[in-house]
Amino acid sequence: MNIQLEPSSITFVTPAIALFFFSLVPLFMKVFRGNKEPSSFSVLIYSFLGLIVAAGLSVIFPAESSLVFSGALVFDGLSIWSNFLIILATGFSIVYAREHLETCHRQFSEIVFLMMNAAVGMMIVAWSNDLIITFIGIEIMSLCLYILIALSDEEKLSKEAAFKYFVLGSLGSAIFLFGIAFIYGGSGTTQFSLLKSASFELVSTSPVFLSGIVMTLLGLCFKAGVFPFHSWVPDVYQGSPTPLTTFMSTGVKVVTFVVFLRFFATGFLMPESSETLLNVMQVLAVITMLIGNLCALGQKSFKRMLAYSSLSHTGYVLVGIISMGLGGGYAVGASGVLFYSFGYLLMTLGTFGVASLYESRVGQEIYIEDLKGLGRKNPWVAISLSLLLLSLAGIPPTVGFFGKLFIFSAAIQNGLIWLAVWGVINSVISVYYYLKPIVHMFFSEDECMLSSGRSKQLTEFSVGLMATLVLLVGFMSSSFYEFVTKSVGQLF
Amino acid sequence: MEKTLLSILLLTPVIGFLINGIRFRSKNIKVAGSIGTGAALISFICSVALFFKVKAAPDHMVLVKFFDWINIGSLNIAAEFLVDPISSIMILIITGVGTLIHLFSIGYMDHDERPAKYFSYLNFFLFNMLVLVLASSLPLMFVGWEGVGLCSYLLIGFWFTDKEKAAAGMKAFITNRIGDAGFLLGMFMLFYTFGTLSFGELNEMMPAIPEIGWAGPVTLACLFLFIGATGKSAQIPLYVWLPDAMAGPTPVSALIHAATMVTAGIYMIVRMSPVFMVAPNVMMVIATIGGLTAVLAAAVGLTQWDIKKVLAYSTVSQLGYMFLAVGTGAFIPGFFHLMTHAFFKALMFLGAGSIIHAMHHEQDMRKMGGLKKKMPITYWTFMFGWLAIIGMPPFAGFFSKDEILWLAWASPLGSKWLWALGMIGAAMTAFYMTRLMCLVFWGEETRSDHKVKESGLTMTFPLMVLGFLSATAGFLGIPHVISAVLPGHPPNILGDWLGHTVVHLDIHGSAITEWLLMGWSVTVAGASALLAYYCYIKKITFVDKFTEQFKPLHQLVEKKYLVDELYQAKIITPLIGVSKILWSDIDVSFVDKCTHLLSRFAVSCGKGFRSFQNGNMQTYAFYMLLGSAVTLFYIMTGMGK
Repeated sequence: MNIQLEPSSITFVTPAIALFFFSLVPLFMKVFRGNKEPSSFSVLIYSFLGLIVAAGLSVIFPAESSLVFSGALVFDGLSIWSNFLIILATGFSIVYAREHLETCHRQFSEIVFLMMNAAVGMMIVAWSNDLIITFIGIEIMSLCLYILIALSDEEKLSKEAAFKYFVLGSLGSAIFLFGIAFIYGGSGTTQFSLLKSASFELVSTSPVFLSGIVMTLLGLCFKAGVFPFHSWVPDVYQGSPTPLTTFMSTGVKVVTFVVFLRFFATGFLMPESSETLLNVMQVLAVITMLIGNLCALGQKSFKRMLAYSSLSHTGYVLVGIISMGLGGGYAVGASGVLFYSFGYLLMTLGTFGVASLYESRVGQEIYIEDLKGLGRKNPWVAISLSLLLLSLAGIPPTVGFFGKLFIFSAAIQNGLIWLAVWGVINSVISVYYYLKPIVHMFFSEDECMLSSGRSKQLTEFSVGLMATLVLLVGFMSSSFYEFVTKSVGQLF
Repeated sequence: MEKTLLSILLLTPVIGFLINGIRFRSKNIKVAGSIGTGAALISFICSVALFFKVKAAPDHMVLVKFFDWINIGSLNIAAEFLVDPISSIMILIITGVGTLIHLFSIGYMDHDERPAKYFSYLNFFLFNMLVLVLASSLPLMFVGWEGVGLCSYLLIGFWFTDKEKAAAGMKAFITNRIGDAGFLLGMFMLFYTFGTLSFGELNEMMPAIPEIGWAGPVTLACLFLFIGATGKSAQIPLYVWLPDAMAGPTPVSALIHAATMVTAGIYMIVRMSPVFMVAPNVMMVIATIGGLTAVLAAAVGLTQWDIKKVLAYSTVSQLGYMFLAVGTGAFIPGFFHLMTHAFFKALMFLGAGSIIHAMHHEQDMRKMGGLKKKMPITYWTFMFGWLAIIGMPPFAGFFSKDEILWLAWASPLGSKWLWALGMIGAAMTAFYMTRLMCLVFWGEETRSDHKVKESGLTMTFPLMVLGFLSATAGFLGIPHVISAVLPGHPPNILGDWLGHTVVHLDIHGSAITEWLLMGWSVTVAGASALLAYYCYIKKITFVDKFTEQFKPLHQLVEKKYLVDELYQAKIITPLIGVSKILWSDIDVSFVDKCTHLLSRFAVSCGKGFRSFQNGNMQTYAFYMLLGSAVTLFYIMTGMGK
């Protein structure tokens, strides 16, 4: 393998480079000021500058899809879209972190540094065309997150969460790495674009290759929180400071979906080649949805309820990913998943934003019951939260409805009718626990005891913005979906 | 250009609605009123501009498509608006009268707690009404149709803390829903038969030969649509909501329940005149229902003491006239009457509003009297409205009403019976309106404790404008026989203008008959008015004797034929009974139990799943490894099958 590094390749990765350098600024400021924390507002400004520059660079450079760094990275529509989603998730999570009690104090500049580097890791994951690079990206991202969670001012739960996440994450990574090794053993390559030609054949002939595929998939399932690797999700999501939960459930999830897409696009999931694999994936998707929704039903803690709900959404997205892997038109399936991911990102940013808004003590847990009477106390937040929850439940005309519509119709087109039926049944179950907070907020006579504690205008604004976007994108769903489809184009 | 104008026309009320809606807690009526009235005024200016655009257009039609709304299979509905002779007049009336009523409201609502809310509803009503009349297809019209219903409900129940008023709003809404069901069925029927719902295509696709009998698809569709019209336009048997709707603020009664919304049914029939012409049997039904409503409602008007109730029954009766007209194929006179009625009835409602405002919300006419001197502007403008409605030449009502009566007599679809109904109605109208004038303005002062004084300019200015229109609007539609003898032979402006799109019947009656009928109707109205004057001012005992003589009849009429009680006993109570059975026996004891069982099952499943979630990391790791092992084993053993 001859390694060549053409200078034009560098331009493609400038967003990640920009993020990295801007993440250093607050850190250096702190060092030069004798380890005194710079004002959180300036840190916020620098990080936003970095994010904006990164977004700008993502728009400017990649004109057409191409492989760079000897096929290690790929830049196509999906990569660019992932850039934006990652930047969105990072930006709003930083906003929440700045105004949240557990993250805003003495180590805010470190937290921002780590978050931005986690974003760099995410970008690498999203761009990667090589399983090894994917692994490296995932590790960059995960290591940052382990430290981030442990950095929280909260003493008990967050430390426990960080430790659990670290140990179980290592286990997941080990399985993933093991799978990569098997794939390399079976096919002689780890690049997605090269696997594409080989995998269809190998999956039905080479047991080594097939077990490699399965283990890689299971490793990814850990990151996305798919059954049977979901058990860490509720504990870690609940134990982490809410801004970081937001970051994990948006950024990490979305890039994992992207890896799923790239991996499935190699075309190993044809019904002729391996029916059992297809069956297993479907069963995993259904069980993930069911576990998420059923466990959320009786949940009293708002954040834990959202954690379970994010599990069920992973299940829905998996439906889209499976139908993409099965169907020939990769771009169509991919844009459905991407549309859903975007919608999910908005809804999750909004709902976790509300949780972050009302946590006014260290380690405070918001219960669903606490939301009683919020409709009178703060009608705008209550209305926004209602919109977001309705969207999560998939009620038209919100973006959640159309996301589900696109994904389920893709499943039906590929003959996965039962999968779509399970998806719809699960949506029905989920309506119950999504509507419960709304009922509490507007139809209860009790006085609302929640308070945001300190001024959290940016968080409040973000929640409102998300609710507006959820509605707006929902209204323009068909034109927006066309736009996504067009810009994603063919997966490389 | 047309598109821009139309967008501004439609969007300014929405913007007004949003601004006032967001600041709905504000108590500043000046700001709220200015925003509301300003939005209406901008709309009016656009309407005028659009009217001239349409006039200049070669086929007198402007069709503007904004976007595709629904595209499912063969059902293609666009957000497309049609400005043609009929709708251009309608938007002028809606925004013009609407602006005046908004202005009037600033004075009328000055003591209200929530003026911003009031004006936001009023603006939203304007928007929906404009959508209703500008829609180029039935479904889009239905959007406006429902929207005005909603606004009507909100505004009738505006003072919802009063239980009776809230109930009146509910009644209006539910009664309208019955009509709406008919409207929907008619729409389905038309789509099923013709595969389209756009007015232009429907009107073109109509068969040339009228349907005979009752079972034809067009006949059924028209019948259903007419049921929709009876709901919205308060005709027998669904008129019961309109008198109760007077619970709303008086300007609302003027705008929604006299000038605009209630005429939607007539507008719909005029808009679809080629379709209705195919169903002569339905036309007969329409004319008969219209005639009966005109007489029966006018009779109730004779016995009421509440000034707004009199005007409400008068509105029902006048709407009956319009249906009588369109039912006899006299679409243009019907529409003409719609227009003149919008002016004089809005005027009278606003006049009543001015009186009620001055009398501190007293509505009983027996407690008024002698207001002629105290409220001169209100009196003189009201006088114009009175002259117009009883049909005195040359006021507006004379031209439109006589045209209707003449066509009821002479049209091939009309009959002498219909004419007779119209005549009786006209006589009664003259009587009860004169009675109102006597009791309110002319009689002796019954109360002197109130310092009643004339309303301010925001309230009197609309009255003056409407008074002027009530006096002169009739000249827009001078009938042929009159113009033949006038110098210069002035044309029938409105008739020529509407003739571009509306079906036009050729009437072959002799001019002499027409003159005779005209003279006769004016004489009857005059005599009836004179009788009322003598009864209530000169105190001849005719009325008392008459009521004494026909006591049961009088009581029946005064109690509004006990229709409400009848509906209550024969429809509502049985319905509630059935609902209760369905609720307790079917819903609570069966459906609910099933769903509870299911939900309990789901929740217990969730509990089961959550018990795996014990927080122990080693256990989690075990699950993961077990899961991977099982998955891997299953897939590898299934390989190659």
